[in-house]
Amino acid sequence: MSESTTPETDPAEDPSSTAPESGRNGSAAARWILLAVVVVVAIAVTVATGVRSGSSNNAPGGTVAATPGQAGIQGQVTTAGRFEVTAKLMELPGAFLPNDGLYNYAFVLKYEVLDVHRGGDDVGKIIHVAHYNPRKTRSEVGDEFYPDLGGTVDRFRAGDVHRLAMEEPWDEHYIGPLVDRYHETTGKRLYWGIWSNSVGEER
Amino acid sequence: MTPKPRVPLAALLLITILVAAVAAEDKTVETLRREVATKGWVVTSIKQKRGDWDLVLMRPDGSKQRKLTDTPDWSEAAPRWSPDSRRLLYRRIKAGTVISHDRWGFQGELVMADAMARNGRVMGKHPWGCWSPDGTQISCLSLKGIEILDVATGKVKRRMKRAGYFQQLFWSPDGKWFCGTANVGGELWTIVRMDVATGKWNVVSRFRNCTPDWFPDSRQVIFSNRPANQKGYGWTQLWMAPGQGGQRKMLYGEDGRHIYGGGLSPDGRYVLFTRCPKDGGGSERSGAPGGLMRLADAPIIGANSPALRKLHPGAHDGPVLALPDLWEPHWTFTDVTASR
Repeated sequence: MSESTTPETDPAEDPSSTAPESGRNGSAAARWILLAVVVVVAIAVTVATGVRSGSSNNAPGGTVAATPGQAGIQGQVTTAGRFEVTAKLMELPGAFLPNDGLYNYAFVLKYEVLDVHRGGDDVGKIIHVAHYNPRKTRSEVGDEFYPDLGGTVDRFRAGDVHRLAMEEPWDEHYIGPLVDRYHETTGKRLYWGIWSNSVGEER
Repeated sequence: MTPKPRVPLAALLLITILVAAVAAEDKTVETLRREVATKGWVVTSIKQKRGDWDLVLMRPDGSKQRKLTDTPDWSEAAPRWSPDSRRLLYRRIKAGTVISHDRWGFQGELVMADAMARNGRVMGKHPWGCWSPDGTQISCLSLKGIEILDVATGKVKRRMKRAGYFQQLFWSPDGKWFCGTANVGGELWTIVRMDVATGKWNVVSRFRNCTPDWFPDSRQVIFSNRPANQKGYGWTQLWMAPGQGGQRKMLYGEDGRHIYGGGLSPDGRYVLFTRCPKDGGGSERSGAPGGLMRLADAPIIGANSPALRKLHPGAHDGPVLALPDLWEPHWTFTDVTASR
């Protein structure tokens, strides 16, 4: 490998680096080429990511294909809690209770985990997550008692895909009424939902 | 004789009967008022026009009111005298904060003062801080579980799992039990009793209950309950049940009012409560009209309440002694105004 196809990338072999006055026109041309390459690559990456993101949630057969690692990254979803997953909300087990501002509660929802971002092997394929005051948008759910909650999910719909930051055990992070319509499911792991971002919806 | 005078005569008779009925009711209420007027003192939170809540001392009939605190920057809430009535625990919450009728124990800080709320010492957050029977310890309920705090040192002496309790934890006068509101088996708002020594628990009352407290004998629990057998949202009523669970009994109900703040007199013969036209105990707004009744007169149904009367055909109409708008009253027979 005596000949490099890109000798100008190696400063040690670049004569211009030791003789700044010589070959100025050639160096400028190289910079323009490099800039053009960078712009083209950036555009290509952006387009590819957009296409992949759009198609990943609309896979045939009603299932959600592998979601990209970056989807749903907003706010504190990558830092809040010890667990972070992308997961599909499997169902709504009955109606949420009224939320008139007088009574507050958490509601247990069941998810199919599509991707584990943090928490490793500890996170199972099916998880249950307690969401605080589920009638409220996640951007408005934080209050005097639970100020750290948030996210971009506006409402919970079966089939939607969420990127969730969570903690467990839930009762070391939440003390209040819990509506658990899966209470007869033995051995389930129940997480406390801290941050919930919308990734997409199943078609 | 013409038939003309019959109508005025009938009207006169009706008016006479009504006046007599009102007078009789007034008399029974007046008898109740005289009965309790000198039986110690009640301390409660009363909302001030400037927006904060202050502690107010009054006779059980609402007379001789005097402020124990006068702090525009702070609200003083949920006062409780120690079992010997020498000290007072209450919560200090920043003025302007909306006090939650069921989560107030998580708000602000616990303060210990003398019986007249003087020389207050801020102890820290200590959620749901409640006296032990001998006043040397305080129980608290938080995410960490149930903690027993030593008053003298401020250190945690014991920690227990909270077993579903999420608010309103109160220690029984005999020291053997806790009662509180808990999640049990997927059902929220359940009143649960726990054995302080073993941590074993049992259900006292299921379905839409809150704000429990102990009878002086530590065998019965008083609480608010919004039964399912009502039209629409329904109304919250005051109930009692044995600590071990079993037959519940309604104490006071009134369609059009939500009944909260249930508490007993030290001898267990009288019941204090609040009658709030909107759900909640009134702490979110300006308090709610207080009421006082004899336990022996229970169940009492207020106002017309036709649906409720059908369910409780043997209920009485009263007497109920009206008290000022207040929140979370507490009663002692001790003369806390005397210098001791």
